[in-house]
Amino acid sequence: MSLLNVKNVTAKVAEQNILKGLNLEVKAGEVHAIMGPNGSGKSTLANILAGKPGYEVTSGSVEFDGHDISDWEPHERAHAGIFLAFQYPVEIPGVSNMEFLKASLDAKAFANKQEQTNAAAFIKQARSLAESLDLNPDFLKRGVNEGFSGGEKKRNEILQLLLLQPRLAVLDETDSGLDIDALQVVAEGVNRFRNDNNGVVLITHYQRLLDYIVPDYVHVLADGKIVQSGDKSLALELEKKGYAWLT
Amino acid sequence: MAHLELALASKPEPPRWLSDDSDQFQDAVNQALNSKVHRERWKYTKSQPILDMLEAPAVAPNWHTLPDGVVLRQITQDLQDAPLQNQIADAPEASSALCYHDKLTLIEASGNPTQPLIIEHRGHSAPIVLKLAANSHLELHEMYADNVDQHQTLWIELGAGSSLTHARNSFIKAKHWQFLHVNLARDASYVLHNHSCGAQLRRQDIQILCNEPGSNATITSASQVGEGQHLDQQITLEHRAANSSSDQVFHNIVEDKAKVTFNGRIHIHQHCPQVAATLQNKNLAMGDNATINTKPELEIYTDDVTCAHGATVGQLDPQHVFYCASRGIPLAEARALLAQAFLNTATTGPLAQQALSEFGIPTSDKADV
Ligand SMILES: Nc1ncnc2c1ncn2[C@@H]1O[C@H](COP(=O)(O)OP(=O)(O)OP(=O)(O)O)[C@@H](O)[C@H]1O
Ligand SMILES: [Mg+2]
Repeated sequence: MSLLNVKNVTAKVAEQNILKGLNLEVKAGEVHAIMGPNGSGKSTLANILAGKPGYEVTSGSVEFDGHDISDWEPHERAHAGIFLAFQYPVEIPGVSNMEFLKASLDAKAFANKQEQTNAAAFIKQARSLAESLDLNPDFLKRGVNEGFSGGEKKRNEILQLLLLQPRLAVLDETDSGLDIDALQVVAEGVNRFRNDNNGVVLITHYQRLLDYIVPDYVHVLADGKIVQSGDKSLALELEKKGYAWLT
Repeated sequence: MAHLELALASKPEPPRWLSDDSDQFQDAVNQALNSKVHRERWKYTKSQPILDMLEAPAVAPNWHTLPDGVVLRQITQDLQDAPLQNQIADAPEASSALCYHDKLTLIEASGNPTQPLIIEHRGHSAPIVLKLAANSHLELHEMYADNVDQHQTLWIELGAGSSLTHARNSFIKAKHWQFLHVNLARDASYVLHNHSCGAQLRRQDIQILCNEPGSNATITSASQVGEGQHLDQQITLEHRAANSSSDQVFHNIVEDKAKVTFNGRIHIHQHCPQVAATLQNKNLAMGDNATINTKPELEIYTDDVTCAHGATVGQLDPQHVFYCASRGIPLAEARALLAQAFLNTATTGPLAQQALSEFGIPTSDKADV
């Protein structure tokens, strides 16, 4: 059964039709890369999946694990296992990263009737994840993304991904703004996350990322639709030819 | 304020130290009470319930152990010598408090004591005058015990080159009027960490006068105002000298059916170049029936100054709420978390931990990561 099934979705943002009949099916164990010109609707798709208010599915359906999730609240989707790594993670001064991570983990455990991670085990886990992503554990004490560099914010998204262990990870340009070393660290994190039971939707502009995170499929999203799909070689072709030949 | 005049007139016996000049004093007070500035300050809060408290007998605060270099005396002093003499126009209500108290508490501090001076108010306090000697440094903690109506008037004189860190945690659940007046001499520095919640009516008058060059005042304030409660903050910052500076941040959480009045006035006098003054008042409304009246007031009579002044009334940032939700934190919990964050960023200083726990903000996570 497919993990995610987006069927012929049209979607509106601020009274504009942005997605215009989009289809995407992701099965467990798969990584799908989505590329495409600026403004084509990639982040809109990501937001639709996460249930961001203001992003409205006007026709078609979004199914996760066989359930139509169109009416689900964002936190319910998170509890079910959808995770969005933001293109622009927000800063929340006054809430420590640690507190935020614990609140996320506890909320998910509570909703799924699981036991909460005890505080000591949690701290240990968070620290070791931070270290594995080359983030100084002191980051955990600071406000959520507060004063983090662009690259640090992106690594923090991956830290959350690894901690929350969702079923479906939607990574919106997590590679943008990363230096070469950080790119490898982040890619390594995503590869650690990958397994046969989860799926990844990887939005990116750069073929380079796909050298590190090898996708099963590459799709081109243009003007609100998937206009081309292929394997990883499609990314190389796009790198050479650009998008013009597809639209 | 006719009622106060009446109250003053019906006062049976003016204190001894007032007897010579009491008419003159009362005239001055009455005149100030009828001024436009004064009426503006009481626009959203009925003054009667506050001023009524002036007549109540004073209760001695708990002074804990006085730090080295701090001397405390009860004085009856001649009005002519009173440090407050010149302040009647700015602070008529507080000045009139003097009529009801025979004695003032005079605290003189000098040196650099390692222990804080702790004042724990337990009811209405007689006026307190704190004088910090030149080049001295002191930490002052003000706390309030017992949930009974209280008022305090505190007059602070900071000598040249001195510095005072003042932490004030006001959590009593009653009617509460706090009047604070600070005079800064050359290069003096005053830092206020102000936290409050819980009072059915709390009025905070804060008047800071940077009287001499190089003086600096900083206020960081966080307040939580619950349903049915009213917080009224009346802040005046007078820059009367060149090269003086001030930074003020006030964060208020206003629950549904709660009310906040904020009046933040910055007054930069003539011939005061190189003054830098900022004031930020942010109010977070947690319901549709929160009432917020915030008014920035700027009066600037010198060109060469930098001044930033902003007041906002807002709801939680939807981007923040969505970020939380996308991590599985439900709306109600996200709101609580973000409201706490908003308070947290303005909760500072030596009594911050205590304030956070009063606000119901967990602090354990921060201790050791
Ligand atoms: N909240 C919004 N309000 C108004 N317009 C929006 C909003 N969100 C997206 N849009 C518009 O929808 C279109 C698609 O935006 P989207 O962010 O999905 O593009 P993208 O493919 O992610 O682009 P990029 O590669 O630059 O990140 C753009 O024209 C954008 O301006
Ligand atoms: Mg985008």
